[in-house]
Amino acid sequence: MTDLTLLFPTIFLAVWALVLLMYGAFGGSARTTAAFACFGLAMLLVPMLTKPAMGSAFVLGQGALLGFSPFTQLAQVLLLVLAIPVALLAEPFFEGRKAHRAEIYTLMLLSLCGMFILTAAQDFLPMYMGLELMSFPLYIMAAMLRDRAESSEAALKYFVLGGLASGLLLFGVGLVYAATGTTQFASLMVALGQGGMPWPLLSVGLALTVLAVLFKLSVVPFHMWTPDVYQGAPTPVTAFMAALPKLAAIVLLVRLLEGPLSGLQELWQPALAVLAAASMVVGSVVAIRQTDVKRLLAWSTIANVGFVLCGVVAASPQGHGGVLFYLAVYGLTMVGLFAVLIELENLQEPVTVHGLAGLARRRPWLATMLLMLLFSMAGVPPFAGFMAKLNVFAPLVAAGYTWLAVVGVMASVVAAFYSLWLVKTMYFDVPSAEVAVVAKPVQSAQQSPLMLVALAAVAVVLVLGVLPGLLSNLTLPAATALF
Amino acid sequence: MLADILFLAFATAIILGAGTVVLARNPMVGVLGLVFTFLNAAGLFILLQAEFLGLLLIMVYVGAIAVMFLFVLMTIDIDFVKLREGMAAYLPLGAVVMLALLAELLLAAYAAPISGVGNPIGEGADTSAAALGALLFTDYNLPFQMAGLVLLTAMVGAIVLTHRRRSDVKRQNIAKQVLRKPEDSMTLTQPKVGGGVTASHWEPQTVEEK
Amino acid sequence: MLDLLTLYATNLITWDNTLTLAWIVLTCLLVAVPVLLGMAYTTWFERKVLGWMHLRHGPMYVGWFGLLQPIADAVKLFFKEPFVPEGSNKLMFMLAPAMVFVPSLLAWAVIPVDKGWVVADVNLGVMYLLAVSSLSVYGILMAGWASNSKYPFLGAVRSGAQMVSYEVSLGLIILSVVLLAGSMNLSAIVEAQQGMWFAIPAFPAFVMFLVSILAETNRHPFDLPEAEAELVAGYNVEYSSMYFGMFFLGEYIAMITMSAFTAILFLGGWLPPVSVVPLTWVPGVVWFALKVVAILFFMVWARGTLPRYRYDQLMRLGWKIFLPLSLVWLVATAFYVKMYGNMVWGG
Repeated sequence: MTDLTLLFPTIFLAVWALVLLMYGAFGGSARTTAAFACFGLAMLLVPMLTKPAMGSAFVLGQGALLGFSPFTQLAQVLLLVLAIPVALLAEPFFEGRKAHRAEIYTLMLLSLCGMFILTAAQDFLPMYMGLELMSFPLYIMAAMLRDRAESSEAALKYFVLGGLASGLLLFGVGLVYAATGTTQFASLMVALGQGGMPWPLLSVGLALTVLAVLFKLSVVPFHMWTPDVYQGAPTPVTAFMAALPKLAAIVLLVRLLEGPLSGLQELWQPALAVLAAASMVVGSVVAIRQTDVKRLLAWSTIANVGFVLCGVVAASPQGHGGVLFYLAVYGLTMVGLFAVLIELENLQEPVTVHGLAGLARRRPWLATMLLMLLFSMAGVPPFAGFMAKLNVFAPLVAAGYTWLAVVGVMASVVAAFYSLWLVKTMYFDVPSAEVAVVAKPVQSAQQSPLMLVALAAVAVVLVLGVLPGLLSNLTLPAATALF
Repeated sequence: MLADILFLAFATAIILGAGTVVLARNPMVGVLGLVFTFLNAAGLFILLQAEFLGLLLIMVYVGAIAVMFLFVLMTIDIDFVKLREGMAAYLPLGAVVMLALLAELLLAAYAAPISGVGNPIGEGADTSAAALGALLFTDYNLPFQMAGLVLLTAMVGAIVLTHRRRSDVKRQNIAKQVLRKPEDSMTLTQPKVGGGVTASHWEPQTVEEK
Repeated sequence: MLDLLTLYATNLITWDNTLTLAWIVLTCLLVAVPVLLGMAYTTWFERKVLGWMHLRHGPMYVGWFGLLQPIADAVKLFFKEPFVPEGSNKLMFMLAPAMVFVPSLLAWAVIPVDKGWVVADVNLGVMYLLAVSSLSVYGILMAGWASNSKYPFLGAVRSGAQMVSYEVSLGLIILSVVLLAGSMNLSAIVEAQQGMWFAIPAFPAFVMFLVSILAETNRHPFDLPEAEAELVAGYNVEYSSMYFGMFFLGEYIAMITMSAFTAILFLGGWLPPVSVVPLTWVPGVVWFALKVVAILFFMVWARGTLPRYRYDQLMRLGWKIFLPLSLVWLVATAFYVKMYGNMVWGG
């Protein structure tokens, strides 16, 4: 019998999701469900911080189905920390559109449960199930505004392409199983550890497996779905998609590469380097041409995933620590940005690049927060975004991939351009006449959770920018434990 | 001997069925091709002595999922000829992907024989159903429960996305119907000859005004 | 390749193999012929019982007590003109009746009519029965679609939805019986009822099962797929001659199959009600047949008594009442089995 206390957070999430489902089904309002969801998530933080679980669950033969290392542990805490503000975003958005359903929170929790499994998976079976459990709620949440064609389109695109990716993953796992007779990471590591090139059956299988993870990350050749899905999905759902699954997927990728595939480092390192460079360049350059802010953020996500992959390519504790650091900062920035965007949407401001013109004069508070978050995204020094980029590029140079670091720096200059251009639009451009008419009159400062989330994001970004050690002191040891 | 022939028959039928799915002009025929493929895949399972999986495949995929496919295809109004218009443009790309996968598979199959596939059920198990159950509820309970959660998600999603309270639909509340008593809806009066009836709960308001 | 084939051919065609093949064909006939005859006389039985319920005689003219009526009907169907409507999908139109008829006969491969009297005594008999019985819905859907006509289409859609809906609760109830018996082998399930038929401890499940098989076989009061008041005759409106006859065959065989299934799961199959001397002298087949006839009588009785359900009521019953109830029953049974073990007495 396995020690289920290790699995407590995961089980808690699933049970809490069921409780919320029942509560919503038997007449609970969406508002109180939201409160219960956030309460549950916050409560879960307590045992996760005080009693970190280490060890393996469901031990089978050489390996186990799940393994909890400090890396996994930290990733799960970060996921939880990011999930709480995202859950807060849903209510102000959906309530105004008469689409606030209690089930949104059930789905969020189920997705989070899938991510927890994904970050701890030590076997292809839980990995696949975790990936599906993470993705399914996302497809559904993307279609939540079902009267809007873009929302349904986003959901359908995401679903079909996600289905294709998991099909490839299963095919890959099947080939790996055919070649080695195991689905466990541990046994796979033994099988691969015999040195030399893996035989073709195995390498095709492994490639397909990694490819499915890269799809979830929207790394460049597999990124086509991202802009449409980000733009079409309801904004809080986009925030969820931008912040959380990326973190879970990259943790899985790192654990795959540093675990069973560590013997093949000379194979995956150059390949990932090329993909990272492509992501950074394509994401940054295409983002410049965007007019819709959500679409622009989607392209910037692609670029940012490229930056994150740089840390993975470095294949050192510093690199992987940087990955966690980067994704935490990036996720928080995204949540803050989307909080501001939702507030703008609720105020019926156009969320296009041109629509933001003159925002600083109309809504100085929102514009200031947007400015700080965009500066952080661009990697301007006093903000955390700068430290994040530094934390992935420095290990990269140390690992000998100077060319990739150079490409990365160049791409971040391009990325800085569009961020700063947005800032320029907000502060120096004169709004077109229609925008001034459409937008609601300035209201007194609102006490909505949106502002709270945005403020918190700005604060954390500032604090981490000045004192990066607060987070990197956690990420570095966690990543060191991988080796 | 017999197993070889059966395998060849099932495998050929699977390829034919899969071909029908892709090439059928009529989507109904396509789905029936899919059903045919499932049935033969179930045959392969049974040939591999995984009778439980084979029968499960028929029950779940043929008996439920493909029926739903057929159902949806029958009830939606889509011009499938129009949908296929762009197909020729994507055909080369599709062919390249297919050839790449095929080449990979062939290469893989010829470079090294498929080896080392263990039987997780273990030899000497009495029936595959019992052995599968024992595994699913012990060692692999975690993926099993997660599959349950995934299905729950799908169910919640289907209901959330389609269900909507409509006020313009008449509904039947059987309990209410059964519990209805005569006195709730009926008043018995004995009107005088030549006199009218005024229901006890109806109070005339404007008649006497003048 | 050719060498391989000739090798197979020469090795396959041996005296032993021919004998085996002949034996297989013989057993198939031994099962199929009684089932087909039984089907023919089920129609006679239904008409007679319905007649008596209506205070009339039913078929009386062909043969003594109308006993040759089914034969006459069959002959008539054989000699009618097969009619394929314009604009229909010809191949599917002709294939559909066979798709209904064949699975219903296939099911009999695993049904034990007496101790050891079964074509294939497989361990997963229950699964096999469920799998095979889920196939017949295709014939109905194909027929409705291929006819290119609105009544058959509506009938087919109704039928598909109905059969899939009731299969869910049917499956759950069957699972609870499997739990009680601790086996999916139909013979083992019968043997487990030596001490007591499962209909007694699992009475609620038995009742739900009886109602569900009415829906599963599209029988009254759930015969919406062919509701003559609304859909003329449902999915088989456009069919004539033996094509229609095959639907008819399939439907009635499915009735007998489901009755046999019920008898096996809940009424102890070939076992006598109590194992006392005069009753045990009666052969098992007779007991089995008696039980099947009793359930068939119930089905006819329901037809003679009950008005047809409305479609939303049918769906409500299936999804909102039977599904939760059978789930609860399954969980309760699982708890019982966990605490006290399988319910296998006597034997």
